[in-house]
Amino acid sequence: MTEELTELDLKIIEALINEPLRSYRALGEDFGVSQQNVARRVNFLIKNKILIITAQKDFEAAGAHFPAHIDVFVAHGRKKDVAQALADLDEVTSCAITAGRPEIIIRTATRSQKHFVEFLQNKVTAIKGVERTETLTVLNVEKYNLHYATLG
Amino acid sequence: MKEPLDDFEEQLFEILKPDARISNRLVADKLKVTEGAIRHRLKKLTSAKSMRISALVNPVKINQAAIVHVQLVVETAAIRRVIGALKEIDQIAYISYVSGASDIVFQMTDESLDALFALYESQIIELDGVVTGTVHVIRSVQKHVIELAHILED
Repeated sequence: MTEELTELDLKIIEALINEPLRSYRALGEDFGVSQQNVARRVNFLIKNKILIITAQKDFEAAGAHFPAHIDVFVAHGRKKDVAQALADLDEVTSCAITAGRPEIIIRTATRSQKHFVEFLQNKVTAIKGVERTETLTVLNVEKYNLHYATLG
Repeated sequence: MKEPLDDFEEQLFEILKPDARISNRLVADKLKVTEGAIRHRLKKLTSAKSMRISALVNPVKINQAAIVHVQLVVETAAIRRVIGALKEIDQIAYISYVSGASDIVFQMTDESLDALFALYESQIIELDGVVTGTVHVIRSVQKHVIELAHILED
């Protein structure tokens, strides 16, 4: 069981979200604590899978030029199996189970419209339990400030 | 269109993924190049918005576990204005202009569903030009790829 987060932890998290490479020394000065204390808290946050400082590649630079959202309508009793099968697909970048209909919402990253159609027809609709899908094609991503991650 | 990363940049990316606070000196040693070469390449990649360093947090641990996915149908003439208003709302971290049965898709996160519903009813559904909206409560996230992001211009 992990210990409770302190006020200092929350301040450090917020500061690192804004500036991931800010030095421990500068963070210590920001919050009136030693840099050793900051280092200890950051190590605690990382070790307990509360925080990760990582590199992210742009979708387009990764060759994913055709982003889309798909609402997936699933047969009764098949929600978890279908969600797992979708999560296993490389083209699926996010897979969430909802509280209603559609049962599952996925975000996808494919190279092209052709790749997307093949993915939808050959992979998604082939999963046992998928009744139908509705696609929203992304014309433009307007804000992407997701600093949340499921860290296991 | 953004250029794909070359082999060297892919190696650099793989080294930074588990711990992006690793020193340039250590990265340089691993890739057998100078520290300056690492600094130069990182600057190139981040300036081109091809890569970024991010701090990501487990939302459950900081009491931000309520997530909803919202789809809005908006009058065509109002789409840009509605997107502009949504961008100003801190709880909304992701917005896309889409084509299909809806016009705008976004994701909101807060400490409780009550807080999110209150925000939706007071600030979003009443926006001028919004025809209708559908809110999907996310019960669990089966997969979320963190190594990819839409790195937008400032």
